[in-house]
Amino acid sequence: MEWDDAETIRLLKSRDEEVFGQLFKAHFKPLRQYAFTFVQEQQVAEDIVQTIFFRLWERIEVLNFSDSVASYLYRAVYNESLNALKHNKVRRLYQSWLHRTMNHRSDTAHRKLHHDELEKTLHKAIAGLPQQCRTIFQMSRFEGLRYQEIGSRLGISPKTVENQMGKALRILRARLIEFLPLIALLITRIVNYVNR
Amino acid sequence: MSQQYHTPIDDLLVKYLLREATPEETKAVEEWLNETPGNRHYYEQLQLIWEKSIHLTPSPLIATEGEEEKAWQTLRKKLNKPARPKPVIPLPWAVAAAAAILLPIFFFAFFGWPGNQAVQTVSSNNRIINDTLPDGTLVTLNTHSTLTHPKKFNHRNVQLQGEAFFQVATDKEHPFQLAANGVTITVLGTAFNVLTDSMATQISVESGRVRVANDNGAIEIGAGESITLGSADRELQKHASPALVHHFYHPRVFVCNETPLGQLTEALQNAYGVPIVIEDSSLSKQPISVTFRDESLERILSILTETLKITPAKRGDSILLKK
Repeated sequence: MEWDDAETIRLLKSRDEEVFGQLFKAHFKPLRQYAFTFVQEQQVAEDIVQTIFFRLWERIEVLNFSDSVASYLYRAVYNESLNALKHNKVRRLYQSWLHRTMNHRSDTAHRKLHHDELEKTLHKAIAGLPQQCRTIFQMSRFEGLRYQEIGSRLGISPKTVENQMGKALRILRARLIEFLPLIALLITRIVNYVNR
Repeated sequence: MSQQYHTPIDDLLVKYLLREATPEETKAVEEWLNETPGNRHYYEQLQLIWEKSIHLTPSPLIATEGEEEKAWQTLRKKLNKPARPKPVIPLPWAVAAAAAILLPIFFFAFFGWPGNQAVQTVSSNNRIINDTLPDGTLVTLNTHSTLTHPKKFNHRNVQLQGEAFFQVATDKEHPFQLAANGVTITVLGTAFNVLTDSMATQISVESGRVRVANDNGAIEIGAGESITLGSADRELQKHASPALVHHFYHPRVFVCNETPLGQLTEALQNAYGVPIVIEDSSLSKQPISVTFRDESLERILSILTETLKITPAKRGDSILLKK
């Protein structure tokens, strides 16, 4: 969905409810899916999207969209999701869900223990990425979007997407370095040795 | 491995990995990869992370046609509520004043007046209640259930009517004891579910171990095990988790593991409020293994009919399942 941002913002600020409705309907599902990656509960995710649009409408006149409307929405969902996670109950459910999923996985395949450990750490590392970085990484990985599509969805340039993807993988690698298989490293050493 | 080349090359490597790179970029990356085994190893690490992370894709939500429109209508209603009149007392002060008046009321309502009787009763009526007991134990009380617990947890003896899920706070000094339908369940720290009605008492353990005792003796059951006691049948015999696993936090998640169809339809009927009738008893005993998450009843029924080769029919307000 392409948005002429300047025009959209102008219409929104003049309280054009129809444009606001179109904006809501266009972003509802992807934003809910994004919120779901944090809170793991469909209803909670849906409430988050409702909340951020409600607030957007309340404060539309004074809002300053520094980049694009879509970027603003994803940032708002990110912040609101983290807030929701702070709320004890959701966090508890999320943790027990995480615990159960991970336990289940290691139960079914003991020999993959090392890999599961990697996955768990990876999960945490993705959750720890900076907001824009995480949004873009998840769109690319979980939704299989191309750079171009991510750019137009967020109203940013493909170059920014490119930088953020590089950054995401760089950060993930740094956080996971101790879990990355030693075998590859070993092979590298042998090759080095032979070449010497 | 040195750091200097990582930053500029990362963007390019990821682009190459995701097949987003132009032919020139591809060529440049491939040259770089062949420079040293270290370079290739570095790239392989990124590649591994990328491949691994696909496993973390969250399950897609159940999206139904036109739900954006429905969600929008919900939001619109909220937006068009008349604006709240400006409070006469500045809001923070109004909140503080209200809190000063209401907090003691809530406090006494919850903990009782000092010197009041020492037990507290929680009844859920029509809703599901999530509560934390004074000892830190988490309780999810199903609808139409009643839990009685001491106000001060110098002992941890509680009574239950109906159904509840407990996640018991660990405290070796004070075992958690639950009495329900003439059965006593003793726990140190664990998560388990208890269902009682006039016909039976069912205890299912999610993690840890519990000891179940009645006038017939005592038995220990562990994770994934259940025990069912009929009103006449007092024999303590455990079996591997037969049952529908209840998730109150997700009232519309149904996990069946060789669960009799009748038990599933009973749960469905509670969750969706539609009576479901099974025509013959052999069908009702038919075991089924399936998981439904937030699906519509129509979808669940269509999956069931397809798997079990049965035909659903409407009879008045209820749904009839027959072979």
